[in-house]
Amino acid sequence: MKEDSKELALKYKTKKIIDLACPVQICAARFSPCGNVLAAACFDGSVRRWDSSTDKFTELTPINGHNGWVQAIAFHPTNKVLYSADSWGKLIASSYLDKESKPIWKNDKAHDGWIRKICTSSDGKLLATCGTDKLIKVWSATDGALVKDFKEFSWDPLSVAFTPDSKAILVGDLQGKIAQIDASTGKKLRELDASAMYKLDRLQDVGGVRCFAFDSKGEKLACGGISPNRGGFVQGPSLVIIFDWKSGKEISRIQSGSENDGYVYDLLFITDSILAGVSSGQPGNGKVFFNLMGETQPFINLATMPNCHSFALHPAGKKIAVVSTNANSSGNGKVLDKNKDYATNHSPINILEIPS
Amino acid sequence: MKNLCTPHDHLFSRREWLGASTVGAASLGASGMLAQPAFAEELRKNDKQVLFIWLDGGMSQLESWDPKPNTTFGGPFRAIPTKVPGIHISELLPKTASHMDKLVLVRSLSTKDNSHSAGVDRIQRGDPKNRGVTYPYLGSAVSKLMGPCSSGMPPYVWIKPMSGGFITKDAGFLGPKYGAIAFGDGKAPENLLRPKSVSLDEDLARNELREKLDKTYRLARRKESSEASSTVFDMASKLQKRIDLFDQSKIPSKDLERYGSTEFGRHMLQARRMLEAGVRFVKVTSYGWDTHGDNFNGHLSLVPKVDMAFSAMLEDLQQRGMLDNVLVILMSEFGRTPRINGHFGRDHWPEAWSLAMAGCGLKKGLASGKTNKLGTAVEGDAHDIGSMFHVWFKALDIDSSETEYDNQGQPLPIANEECKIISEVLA
Repeated sequence: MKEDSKELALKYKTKKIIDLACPVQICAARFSPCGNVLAAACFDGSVRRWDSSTDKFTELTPINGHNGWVQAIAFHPTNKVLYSADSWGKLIASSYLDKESKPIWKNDKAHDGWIRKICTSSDGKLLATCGTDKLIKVWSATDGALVKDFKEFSWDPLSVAFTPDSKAILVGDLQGKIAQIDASTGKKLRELDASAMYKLDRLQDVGGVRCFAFDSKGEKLACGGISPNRGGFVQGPSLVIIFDWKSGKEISRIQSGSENDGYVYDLLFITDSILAGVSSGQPGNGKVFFNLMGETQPFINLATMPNCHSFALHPAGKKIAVVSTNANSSGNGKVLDKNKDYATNHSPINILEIPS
Repeated sequence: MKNLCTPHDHLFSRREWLGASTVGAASLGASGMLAQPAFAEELRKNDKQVLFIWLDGGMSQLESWDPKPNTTFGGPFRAIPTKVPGIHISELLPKTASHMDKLVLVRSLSTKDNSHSAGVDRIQRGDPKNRGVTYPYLGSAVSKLMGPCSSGMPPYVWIKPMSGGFITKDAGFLGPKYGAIAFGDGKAPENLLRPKSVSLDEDLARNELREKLDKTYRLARRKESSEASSTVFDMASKLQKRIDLFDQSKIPSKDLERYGSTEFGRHMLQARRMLEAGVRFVKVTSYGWDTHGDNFNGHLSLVPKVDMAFSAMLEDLQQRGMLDNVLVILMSEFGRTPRINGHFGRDHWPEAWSLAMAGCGLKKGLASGKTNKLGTAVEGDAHDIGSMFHVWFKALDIDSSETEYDNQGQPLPIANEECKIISEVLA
């Protein structure tokens, strides 16, 4: 490890301060921009909330009204609104600071099927979603009115993000294509190649671009996924591809060493030179990693929290929420717990503190 | 138990085999024997066929035939109504949903093995009581019990990805000649056709010599070995005459579209051609269903491809009037766990799972059996695979309570006698 990496490893040597219990599995967790709420999108169709204004993380009443899984959530950058989307196509905007959250608007048929991702524009005017109906939709963040939908592409979108200037939308698909689309016209402006994140294994399409992150200057785009070796078990090393945003050229790749590491599910630039994220692969595997730009290997590579699916940074920059999975989550047949119950797995939320 | 089935009864001799198609066709065409009810009935009985679709690794019942939407283990997908009021299946099977009036679902399977290595064998051999012998796979069993169809085509054909060959393992104690001829990637066996450098006369002369040598060979060895050898040559001879079946250029592009431009779609289309050509038992295998990781995206990719080809097959069999004579079975070695692991996968689950069937001898538009609200157990009667073997044999007009194998003097039931038939699924 280089000297600066050693220093960074010390600087970012996190300490777990809270183990938040959640009785169900979680797809994604995010801190509100005000820092007072941590919200989690859950398998049981709820959005669970915790008061994150103190280190007590007291649980608040959940937001209900969804079906299937809630896979995606996003906070409005300034208003106190949380957007949540489920796998049956419903989109809900809720107040999130109230003790009892109230729906502001909802759309039961925002998509025909599974809404994969949701994002807000930095100016707070728009909301974008993508779903298994192969549509990208842009909504008014204020009232949920449909502003635009993009139908002309044959992709199977898995991830969506606004560009930092809010003028365009990025879509990442199953085949590893990344399209930049003008948010107002729907015109495709360019494509970036992340096909290393895709493989057709026998009958199964495996992989896809699972997440995006821009640095604060909008100069670098990081895309997370897997370098798939095979379907079924879905094995392959985690893969992050970093592009120079202006030129669209690939700058570098960060690929993990083990094919058990699996997908990078979440990415975030902690600073413009430090990219962090989480991965989840074979049960019991997965990492929390911090990577210095330009380096091919992370300076922190935590393997103590199995199967991590989400990574969120508190706006004050000192706390991180990592969603992992309970130990021994897999097993063939009817594996019973100590109470002789066939219980569901669950997702602990690990609140980590970054040293001052 | 009456021994209705002896090796002699169902020995498909070389003579019978080679003669079957010509005798059958000539009899029908020349003498108009179809007009004679007894003969026509016998022919229909003899020409019952099986399409066995095997999704190797384990399709999730929750993402297919027995969805539990909005429950703890239900996953992200919705359930959709089918053509039969009250029966809902996963939204990943919209085309098949429109054919539910042709289908029977069994949602009460509860089998024993949760490993592939034991599970595949146990399921395809019908999980008989352990008597120290290796039972045949269903395809070999049907091949033995029913012989080739009147077409004379090989009785047991396996269309699979990757390589082909003559797979004797399936036959168990029946002996290697009841094995499967596997068409790797649905293609004709390599070197099937007589090389151009060998004339027809030379070929006949060589075969005569081979037969003479076979006779000598038989004197010193078990007859099963020599029978298998000559059976393979006979199959090759038959297939040489039907090389057209492998000509992809003869497939209408519309059919290719309907079945899907996937490996599975192509193989199912090839299976249809084999059924049309009069193969008794056609197995189609799709590998890669062991979705321990990313199960939901996996099924989102896999199931619609099966939906497309399976529904096209049902349409075609119906349209050709074949569905009354062809027993269609779609299944895996087990289902997948309700519990979702940390890799968003589902593991192996023999406890409570499902299969789909259609065709001869079966009711239509039925969902038989049920699981509890969470899909973690069968409610009511649970059925092991032995029950399905009784059902399938009955659907093929083979009485499994009366018929036995004769394993060199050892009578053996053809299906696990401790398992009950599921009467409600039978027509």
